[in-house]
Amino acid sequence: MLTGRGVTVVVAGLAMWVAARIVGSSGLEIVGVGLIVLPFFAGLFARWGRQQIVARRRLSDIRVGPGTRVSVHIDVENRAPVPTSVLLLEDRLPPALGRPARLVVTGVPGRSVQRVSYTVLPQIRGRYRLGPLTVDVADPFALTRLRLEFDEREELLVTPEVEDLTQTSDPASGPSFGATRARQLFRTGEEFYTMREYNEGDDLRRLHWPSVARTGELMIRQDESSRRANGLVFIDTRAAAIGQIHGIAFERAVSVGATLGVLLARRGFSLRLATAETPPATVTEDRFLDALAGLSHGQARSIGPMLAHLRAGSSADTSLVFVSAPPAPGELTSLIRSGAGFGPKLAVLVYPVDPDTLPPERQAQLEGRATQARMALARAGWDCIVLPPSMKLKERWHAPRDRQLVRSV
Amino acid sequence: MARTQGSPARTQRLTALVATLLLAAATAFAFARVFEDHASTYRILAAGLASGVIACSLERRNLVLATAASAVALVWAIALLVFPESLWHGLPSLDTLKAIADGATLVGEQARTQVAPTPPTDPLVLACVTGIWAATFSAHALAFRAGSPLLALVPPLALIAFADSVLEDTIRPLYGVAFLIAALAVIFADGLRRVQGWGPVWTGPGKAARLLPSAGRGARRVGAAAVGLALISPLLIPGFGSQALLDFSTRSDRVRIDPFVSIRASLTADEPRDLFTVQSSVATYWRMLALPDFDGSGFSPDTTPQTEDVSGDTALADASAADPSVIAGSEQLTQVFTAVDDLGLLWLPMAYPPARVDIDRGLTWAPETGTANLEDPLDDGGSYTAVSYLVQPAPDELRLVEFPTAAQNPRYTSLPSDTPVEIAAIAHAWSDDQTTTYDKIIAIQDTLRNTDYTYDLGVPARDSSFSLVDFLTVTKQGFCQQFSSAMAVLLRSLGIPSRVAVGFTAGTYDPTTGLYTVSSNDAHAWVEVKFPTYGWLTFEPTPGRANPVATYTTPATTGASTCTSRKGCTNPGEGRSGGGRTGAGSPQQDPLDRRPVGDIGSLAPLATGARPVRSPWSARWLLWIALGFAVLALASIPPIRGWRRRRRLRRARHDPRASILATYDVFTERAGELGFPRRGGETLEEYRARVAASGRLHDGQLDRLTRVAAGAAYSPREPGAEDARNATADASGALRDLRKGAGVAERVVGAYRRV
Repeated sequence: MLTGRGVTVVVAGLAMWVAARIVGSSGLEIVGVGLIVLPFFAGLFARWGRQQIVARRRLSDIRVGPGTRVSVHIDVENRAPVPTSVLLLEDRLPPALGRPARLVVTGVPGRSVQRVSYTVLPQIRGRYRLGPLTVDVADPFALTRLRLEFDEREELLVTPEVEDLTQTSDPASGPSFGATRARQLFRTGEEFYTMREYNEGDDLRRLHWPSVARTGELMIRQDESSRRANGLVFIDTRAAAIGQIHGIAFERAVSVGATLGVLLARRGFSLRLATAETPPATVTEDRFLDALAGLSHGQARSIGPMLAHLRAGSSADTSLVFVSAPPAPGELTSLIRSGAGFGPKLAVLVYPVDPDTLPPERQAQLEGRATQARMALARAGWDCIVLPPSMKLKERWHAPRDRQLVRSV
Repeated sequence: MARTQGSPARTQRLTALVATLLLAAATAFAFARVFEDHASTYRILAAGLASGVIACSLERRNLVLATAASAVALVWAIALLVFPESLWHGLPSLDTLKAIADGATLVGEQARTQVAPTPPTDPLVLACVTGIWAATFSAHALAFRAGSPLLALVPPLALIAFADSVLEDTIRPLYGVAFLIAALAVIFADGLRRVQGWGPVWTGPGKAARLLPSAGRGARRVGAAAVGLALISPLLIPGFGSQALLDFSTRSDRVRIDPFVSIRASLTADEPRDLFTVQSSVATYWRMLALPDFDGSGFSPDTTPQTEDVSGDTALADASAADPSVIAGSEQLTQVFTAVDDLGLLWLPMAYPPARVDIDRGLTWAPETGTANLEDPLDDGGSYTAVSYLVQPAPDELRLVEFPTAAQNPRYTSLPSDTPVEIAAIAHAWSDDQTTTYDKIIAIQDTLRNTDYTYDLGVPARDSSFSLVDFLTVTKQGFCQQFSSAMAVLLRSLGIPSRVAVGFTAGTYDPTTGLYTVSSNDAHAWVEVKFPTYGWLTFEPTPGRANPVATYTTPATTGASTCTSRKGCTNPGEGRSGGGRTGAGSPQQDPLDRRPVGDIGSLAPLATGARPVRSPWSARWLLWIALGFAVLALASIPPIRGWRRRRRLRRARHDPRASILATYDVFTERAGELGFPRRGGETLEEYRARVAASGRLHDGQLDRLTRVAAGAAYSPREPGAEDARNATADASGALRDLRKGAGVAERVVGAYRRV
């Protein structure tokens, strides 16, 4: 209850009183007595003002992207009829959001609510739990402190960075390359439709008369409204491949996966997400981003088993987005083999470290592996993008393809 | 919704200013009790307030700069408050500095010669103004620069404790309460700073909801409760206001009358202490010693006396320089002295000139000054017997005496070369119309006794030549010390050998016991003039006083009953009257006492109330203490800062993340002292780049430290103990590099830089 400062005041008062008795100074004795009793009156005052204080936290947004400022509002309610003393609020935050937020609230009048707020600026994706909130009731001399703790937590989801690939980054280069890439990836999307036999209850307006004529049976046109194409986003989360969580390469890979997944979802694909350690699961766009917000690296050694599992569970028209580091030759083979079971395939290979920062021999080794993978994948029908970790996908998405690579394909 | 309160710094400065001024005012009022008048209180109050305002206005400046500016302001304040006549168009001049230097040299002497409450002499006011100024400035520095409000109370408290210890007045809790309120204000202001340091302040609508009014309301309630309880503590705490357990003053149980110190201390004491009783057939002065040497500022004892050991009833060598025939023709007076208290006297009081002394302890005799020195002071009940001659020539006999020239008796006629010529002029003006030397002496004595010179114990004991001129021409007020010094100097200016004698008046006669009781405020000083043939004879220039046996001092005119000054007769100073001395059949009616008893009674004003002679604390010490506090305040800031940093690091050492952050904070603080403060809003990387741009860093420690600190601040990955150790080592290395590039002056100044 007494702060260190309060204890010091009491000790100083005692020392002063003893000194006063020694030198026979009545004035000093009064000062000593006053200092001795001061913290106790201060404590009574603080205790008197702490009755029935309730604090609640509310966030302006619970799901935001990195770099988005979030307001945290705290309602301090004083249910007692008397005003409170000075309140020192401390809302503990995860380290990635900064130090605990500290606020001072002057006396809250009786039976009233005072709202205070602070903001956080999350820069890194993740799932953050804010709290607990503590309220210290302090006396005006800051000699005593009574602590109230409110353990209610609020969760803040910071989704990965999602890039807008629909805009041309360089107008001079025209829309062709990005659009081409998209059409290739999404050619099983809205544009695709098929026929099936009529079932009772189907909308007769959707009968495809040419097929009826050709087959002699009622055939119904099945478009995006009744059958959605599948898209699978696979992110290689192995620490051995792409680095650890919050590493620049890992975060870039997650951001690339999020960008392409959102793009697929918004084009009408039924979206599934898989990682090196989790099997594919169908998700909505929001769930997809939520899942990526909490994505962490794993300890799996190989992606071969998971790729085989993916191939077995996917149809031939499923679009595949594969995000990883440039694979080793052995993994490249299994990747190409697995990719054969998918429709359109896009591989985004993110360097685990920026090659420019490496010694020349290691730089050459890493870039050689990426080139080898890119050529092999291209030959196998993949579209492939190689990214340094510091580069955004948008910068390569709209860039022209490597002519040599295209010719070789 | 609440809103954030703006300009907390302004609120902080305002509260600091108010608290400092309250502290200064409370201290000034309590401390100024050492002076008698209110004007001095206001001067000290003005000094304290000015010091507080200057300290607060310079709060954001470097401490060394602020101290220097405050020192300059102090000189100006002293000039305004103590030596206004030395100002030149409102500014201090060389005369001011000279006056301050002169005043400072007199502080020690004044402190020794004054008893609180004392008249406001310039040296003492100078000391007190300096003391309150230094105490206020150091209190502000400790409270609001170093953040130690309790330490800040120490310098002002020292002044108050000093005042309490030298004043033995009744308990006055008001001063303690005033200081307590000021102390609470300081603690409140510091607490407010700490609260505002917690984070942004949110207030409700209306001015009353702002932090200062809101917290102030609570502080008033809590403070009022504490002050109220403190105020009634005298009723609650046993032994409140009792005597000091340890008395640090120089007072002892022995009673001293110190000729080196003004005897005014004894005369103004509130509680008299009986010293000894005398069984004697005649009331006379009980002389202790003579002060033969005048150095321009005062008479002093013989520092290298020729002495001889005497014991038992050994006859004392003639000290009066009288002819043997005169001595032989004089009557003898036997006196039995008995100490009634533990006496601190080292000189034996007895009638002058003594013939022999019978005492049970070692004694040395200085014939030149007629002083009997004791080896051990007398304890309560100690007794001795003295036999003295009563040399009482007739005035006509004295008129016939031919005095030698001054050159023949240089010791007792010499005056310093810088003695103002006004003194000789005054002496001539008063005595030139007299034809004989004796009449000149009487003329000077009577002018001092009988004209507009008045007896007043309230004047300071200034007995320098210049002060004597002031006394003789302007103030014309004083007590025995001024009158006797003035007469002796006037006589010397005429070439008449003279000196000042110190001892006691006869005391109070009790007819039932036949004893004279002499107390501490019977202390007295008078003049001795050396007559050829008759030796050293006593004269009395102090109004309202007369030596009963010195009949030659009242040649056929007024006798001894010359109490012309009402003030002199009523002042509770030297001597005392009382029923005992006026009673019928008292020894004063002995034929040897040729003066009417009633005259004696009327000449000796009653002294009521006195206290043990107390050697007050030296104001010079006060000055030194104040300066010491100022130096201490300055010197304590770097160690306090260092201690706080160590404490911060120690508290964080169990958590690597907190430890790294604390290490980084401490590093930026210490780097700030070396000229590299981290600016507001500057990122870790920006700060690193700026410091690295100085070129003082060599080994990349700051790069590593910045990386680790950024990780500790923003990364969810928990740093390890190894990281914390590395951060500490890197911080030390980086600081070492920065220090190497800084000059000594920069490092010293940096220790006081606000970071």
